[in-house]
Amino acid sequence: MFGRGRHAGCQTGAVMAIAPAASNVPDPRGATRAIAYAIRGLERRYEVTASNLANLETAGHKRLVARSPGDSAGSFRTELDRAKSSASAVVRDFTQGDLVPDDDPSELALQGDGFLAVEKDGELRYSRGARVLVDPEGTLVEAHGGQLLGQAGPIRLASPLSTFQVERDGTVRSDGAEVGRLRVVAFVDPQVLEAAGGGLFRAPDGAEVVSAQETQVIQGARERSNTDAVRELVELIVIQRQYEAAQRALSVESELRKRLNESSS
Amino acid sequence: MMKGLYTAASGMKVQQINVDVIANNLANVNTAGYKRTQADFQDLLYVVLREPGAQTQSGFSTPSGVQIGSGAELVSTTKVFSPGVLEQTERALDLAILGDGFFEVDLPNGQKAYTRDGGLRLDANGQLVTAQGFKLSPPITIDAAADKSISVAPDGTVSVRDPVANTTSQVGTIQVARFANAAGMRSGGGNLLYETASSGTPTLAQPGQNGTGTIGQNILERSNVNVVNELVGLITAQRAYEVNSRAIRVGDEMLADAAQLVR
Repeated sequence: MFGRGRHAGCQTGAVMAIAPAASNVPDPRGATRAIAYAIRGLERRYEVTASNLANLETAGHKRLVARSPGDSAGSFRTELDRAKSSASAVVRDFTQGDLVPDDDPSELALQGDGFLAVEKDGELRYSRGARVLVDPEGTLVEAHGGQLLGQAGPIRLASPLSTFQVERDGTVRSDGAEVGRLRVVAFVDPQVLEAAGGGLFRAPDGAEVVSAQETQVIQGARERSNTDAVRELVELIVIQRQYEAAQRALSVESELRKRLNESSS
Repeated sequence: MMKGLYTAASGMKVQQINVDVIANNLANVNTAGYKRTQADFQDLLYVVLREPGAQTQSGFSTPSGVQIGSGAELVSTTKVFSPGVLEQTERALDLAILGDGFFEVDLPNGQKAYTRDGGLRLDANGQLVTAQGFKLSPPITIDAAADKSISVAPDGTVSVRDPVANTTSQVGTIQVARFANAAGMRSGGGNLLYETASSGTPTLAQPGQNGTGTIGQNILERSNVNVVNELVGLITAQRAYEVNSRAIRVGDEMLADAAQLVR
């Protein structure tokens, strides 16, 4: 690790500004810095894992993955690159979570890559599922108070006392009559979605939307978090061991430098 | 200090609440008219370290940002109003609402409360009351001599038959209240639920009309708690608690390692 610990430039958008060193000239600060980056990256990976585990039982939660952009590169410099950029990108894994049937007809879950459009406080949000309630005006709302949107605005039942059924294509029926169709949208690149907390996502302006024909709306089911506890536990162990190793490397490096200083004096 | 420690702690807290809710459901598995509670969780706010689409130093725009979650929290505990198990009983005053709706009762303080528990009784004045002694609203008085039989029709009409005189007389009609959002009602113990701003105002109707359920006599509605489902929930809650505590331990050990850096 130390022999290679030299400057690799900033092509991965490093957090700290480092002047690109002339090639192949060992930089004595490189190793320490690389390890420090590694340590910081590991801490962030730990935080991501903790966040996934905390939401193990949160319906519709999508796990986060700390990913380093240097992963694909194959040069001998990548180790330093990777260390610097570890967790420099946190992406969300939008794969489908397990659907568990529930006897509660107010639960809606999605099968496919779509999102339900929800209007909350006048802003458009997207959700992977909802507990649907009927407010005193007869409008369909989700548990956070946002209104579920249909093709033409909020969906209103014939009367607040009506029951409703949601079909797989999102059509909402109330007392047998169709009252609207849930707006289900999919994104060309779901990574542009920003978490707005509360299981809701915010899309940036101009996010590319495609129709979500294949997405099915399932009433009476909830989508479990797609976090796999075992995988996250393995990740925890790996993080811990790498962290240990990085700390040890730092002590060794500091020991080496101490000796170097002593021998030169 | 590492934020992940608090994140994992929030995960443990959430599972603690989950276990509390499940324990309450299990404790009420034989409570007439009890509706199981479901705890819903949501992810906490995110720390945005870099916005998606932000410019990096090298001038690229990043396709995805860096957002790290801060854990989980409870968003709501919702009553699930699916029908409970119906149990045939021999009591003429065991009534169940087959379908949507609640019995309305008058509390001594003048407030109204709502219940699905139809194990009714007669008080000293011959009025129909719940097991706790709250009067049904509107009140129904039955002149109940021991030899008279009481019958309640599916549409809520209560009639009393006098075997001696061989006459049947109607004494009143049980009304059923419905709410737009029953899940928004407040539970107040004693099998009673109360109206809130989010539940909407109750609509009283004769049973079987306007979508309300009908009345079944000699039937008690037990809880809708499914023991197997609750136990599975308990197991997953325990495991989730365990892995979150494990995450805290790892974080702690990482900090211990870090502390050894300076000797």
